[in-house]
Amino acid sequence: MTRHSLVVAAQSNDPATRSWAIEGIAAAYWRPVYKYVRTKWNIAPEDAADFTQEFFTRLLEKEFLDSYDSGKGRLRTFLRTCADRLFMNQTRDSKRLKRGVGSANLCLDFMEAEQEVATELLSESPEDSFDKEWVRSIFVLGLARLQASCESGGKLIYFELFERYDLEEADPKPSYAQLATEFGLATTDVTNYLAFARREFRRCVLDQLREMTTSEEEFRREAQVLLGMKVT
Amino acid sequence: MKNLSARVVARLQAEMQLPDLSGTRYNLVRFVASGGMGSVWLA
Repeated sequence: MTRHSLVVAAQSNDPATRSWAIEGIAAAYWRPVYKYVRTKWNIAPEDAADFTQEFFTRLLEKEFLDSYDSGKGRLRTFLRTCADRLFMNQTRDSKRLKRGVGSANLCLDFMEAEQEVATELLSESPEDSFDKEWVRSIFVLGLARLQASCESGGKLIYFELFERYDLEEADPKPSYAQLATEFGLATTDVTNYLAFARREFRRCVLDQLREMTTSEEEFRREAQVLLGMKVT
Repeated sequence: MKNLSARVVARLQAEMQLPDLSGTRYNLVRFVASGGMGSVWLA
């Protein structure tokens, strides 16, 4: 199997390849990093945003990832440890970069993340919260893949049904018969389209995860955490 | 893309653990047990 690992690409000597890969890694990890430093070190939102930008800038400059070995541990544990180390070094040196200076210029919605921090329960440890946030990010990225794949395959209605039935928090959920009326379909079509979308979503999530890991063993280990089951 | 709530993530995770029986003549009844090789479901 050909493995297009973002982590391997991020260790490349080619700046363009590295930049593309870091963008992909940041998409999955910026929220976990932002929320982690906000809650663990109790720093202000603007400082956490600066820190997150700088963290991924350092990744781009190959400061961290060159020393990553998937045989020694999970990428997310490694990145969390790197965040701790960077924070402690910054505190020690008091040499924080000014906002926007030398940053990776990633377009990250810190305002939305901050609103989530304010409403989430703080009963769990920052480490557990980092892992949960990572799961959420992989799902969101998987969802974006599903949407793109449905759009390009002329199956947007499959995605819209999935969005309506599986992603909305309506209580009670609409019945398949109600959805059939709403979308102008037969009830059996709703059943089939949702089954297709769920199967595709699972594939998209696992494809996303595969890109974020460097070996089949790491992929299987992480899939077990992500889905709570063995992936064969 | 908009972020997902913790509740929706938990629901999706649970759904993804269910065996996919679409296209078969079976309906899922309940989970029986799991071990090193996988999970057993009554269908």
